[in-house]
Amino acid sequence: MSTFALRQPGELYESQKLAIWYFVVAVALFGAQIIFGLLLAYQYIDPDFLYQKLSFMTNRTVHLNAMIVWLLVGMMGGVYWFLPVETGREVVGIKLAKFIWWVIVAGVSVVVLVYLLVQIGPGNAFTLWFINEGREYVEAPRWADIAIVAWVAIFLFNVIATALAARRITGLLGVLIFDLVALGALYTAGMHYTVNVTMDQYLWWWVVHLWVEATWEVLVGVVMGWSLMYLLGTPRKLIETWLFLEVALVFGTGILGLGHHYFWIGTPEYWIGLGGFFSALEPLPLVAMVVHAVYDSGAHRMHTVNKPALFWAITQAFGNFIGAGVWGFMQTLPQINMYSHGTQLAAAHGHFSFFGAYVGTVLTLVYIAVQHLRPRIQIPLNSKLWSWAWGLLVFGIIAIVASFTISGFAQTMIERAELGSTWNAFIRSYTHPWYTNTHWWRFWAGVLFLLGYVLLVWDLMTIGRKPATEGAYD
Amino acid sequence: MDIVRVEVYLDDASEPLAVVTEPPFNVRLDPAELGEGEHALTVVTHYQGGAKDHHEYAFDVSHKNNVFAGHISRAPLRAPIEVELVDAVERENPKAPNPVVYGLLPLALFLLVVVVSWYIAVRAESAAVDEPTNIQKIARSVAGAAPSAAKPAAGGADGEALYAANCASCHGASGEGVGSVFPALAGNDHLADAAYTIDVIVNGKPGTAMPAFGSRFSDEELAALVSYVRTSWNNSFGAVSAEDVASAR
Ligand code: HEC
Ligand code: HEM
Ligand SMILES: [Fe+2]
Repeated sequence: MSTFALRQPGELYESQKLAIWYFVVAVALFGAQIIFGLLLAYQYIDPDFLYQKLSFMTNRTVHLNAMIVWLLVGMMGGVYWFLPVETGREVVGIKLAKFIWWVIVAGVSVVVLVYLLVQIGPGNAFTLWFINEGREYVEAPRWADIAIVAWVAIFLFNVIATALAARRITGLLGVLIFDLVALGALYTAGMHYTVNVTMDQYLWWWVVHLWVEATWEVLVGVVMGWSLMYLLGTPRKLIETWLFLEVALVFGTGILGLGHHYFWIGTPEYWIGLGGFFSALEPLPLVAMVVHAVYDSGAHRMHTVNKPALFWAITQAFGNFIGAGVWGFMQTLPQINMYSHGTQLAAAHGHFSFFGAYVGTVLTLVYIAVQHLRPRIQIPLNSKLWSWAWGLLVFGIIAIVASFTISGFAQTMIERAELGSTWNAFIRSYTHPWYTNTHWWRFWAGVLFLLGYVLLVWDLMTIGRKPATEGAYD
Repeated sequence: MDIVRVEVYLDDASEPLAVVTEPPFNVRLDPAELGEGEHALTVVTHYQGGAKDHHEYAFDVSHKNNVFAGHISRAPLRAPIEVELVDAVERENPKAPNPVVYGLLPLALFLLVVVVSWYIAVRAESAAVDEPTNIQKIARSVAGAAPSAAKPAAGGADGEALYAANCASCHGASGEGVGSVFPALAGNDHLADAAYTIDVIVNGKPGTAMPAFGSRFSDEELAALVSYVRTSWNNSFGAVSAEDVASAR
């Protein structure tokens, strides 16, 4: 049962209106990511499909880059949503923020069109600057890289200037400011061209690992902290104490945990010990986050002002722990990674962790914003549809991860452990039924996931319009 | 074991608050008689035969029956309560940020990381000249490759060892092949045609995974290989000579 609060939503801050644009673009790019993902799944089954028109590698670039961008956009949107609430004033430099936002939207469109229509170029500087810089996940050409750094710099300026102008600093804001410094500055590590592929990868992992396992994880801590305060009324002291603990653990384990990508790429051998030890501790902060979120929700008996957002927040806590922590730990010890490196186990972990940690976060934020878009505020925000969308998305990703895990296991056993990385081993593992059959499961799981996405968008457009009917999840 | 008596002590008192000898073993605590704040309850249970158990419990007494708004959902509302409407942290005067710590320091750190990553990249560019890495040949140890009684077929080259090192990964250690992808060489009638066999091994099969070996081996070595696959695993198509290979090149 839900009621409408007497309150009309007040005028939104300009910064919150901007946040809504961020969320709209994020959800749209989520859709693009899924479509291209399905295409990839089908090309595994029929490699000739669209070959040389939209080849696998092109689609994979769009699939991965769309993901990085929409998750980053969604989390930044969350900051623009909560920042004025936290400081009690409009964000300083909001005009600049709006300007760079539309530059970024235009830039992303151009980059995607070039990916799709031009696809590849000769191996020279022109290609690096204008077509594709070639480092997975962050393939944007260099002109777009520079725009992205400018974007994060303006974002950082917004946060710092607003805190200074409001004469208010909180633990959450302090953590946010220093985290954004790392998030913006580390991106530049992915912009260098070196002739030595080991050096190239060495720096590239600064962006990929130090971003997703350190700076993004801390950003999540901040926006989820604000979300829990909003959803449950958790006292600030509790939130900030947990946050400091998590930040200490994330940076304490994650910075040297970087070494788990340096085992076999030609970097010095001491990384095997360093990376193995520190990355094995990386799940600790994720455990802390689960305990925190579950403790808070349990203590409040799941009473919340916003059902779907709370559900996504809890999904985030578990998904982060299982997807990043458990599936990552599974292959992080060098003794295991020697056999599993680069198999589909990595893809299983990548899907689970990005979904659990970041998709969960962004959807929590989106549902919080949606609550304020209707003429009157429904409390708790609820509908039947969101739980179907939630169920299909969660089931879909679990099935996708399960099929990747099974095929990755077959690869690890047959191609590496039993037959020792020969051609023969490669062919045997790629023709083994555990490998081939799971392509089909993955495709159909992807179709369910797409259906979940459609319901999600539908729900976001309708939820809170009328009181939830009897029988909706209470 | 039967309980003889239970003693209850409050905080650090040496005299028990109560001694209970009969079930139900209860004691009544009235917050009105206790001071505000934290207390400890020690329960000592004596059993027949002299054994005893110790338990410590901590609890809180509050005379102000109020609760922060964020906590009203934590327990069912049973009695009138006072609700604190503002988070304790928010009630304090907000702290103004120090512009050096929150303005200049982040800027300095940002520049530091950029400079470090730039420096490493520049070093990487100059450290590595774009020339082929000096790759050393690694001694191969494919299963079954151990050069057993060497069978020098032609000019002293060891066909069996060459096969194990260069062909077995695809065609199998005993020429059994892999499914429909890599053809079996054992019992393969195509090998009866010596010219064809030499041609495939020397020039490869363009458009397939079968590589050309002509530029990698001498005529003697190629002859040893061709002879080996034509005469092993019950194949009996006969050996070829280095001259056959030379004339087929
Ligand atoms: C990379 C995997 C690979 C390696 C290594 C390899 N082959 Fe092949 N070989 C193939 C494939 C695939 C074919 C089938 C080509 C086709 O489609 O006709 C083939 C075909 C052949 C054939 C012709 C068989 C037929 O039925 O027509 C011979 C003979 C042969 N290989 C000998 C060798 C020898 C000898 C070596 C080692 C010097 C060797 N191959 C190494 C993959 C390989
Ligand atoms: C939210 C956090 C995380 C995300 C989003 C994430 C994502 C990814 C992705 C996408 C890859 C594949 C990279 C590639 O080769 O292209 C990867 C690899 C890997 N991750 Fe994570 N990860 C996270 C946390 C963790 C944690 C906590 C651990 C360890 C406990 C871990 C261990 C690993 C390992 C060992 C690999 C390399 C696998 C291989 O050798 O093939 N990850 N991760
Ligand atoms: Fe990592």
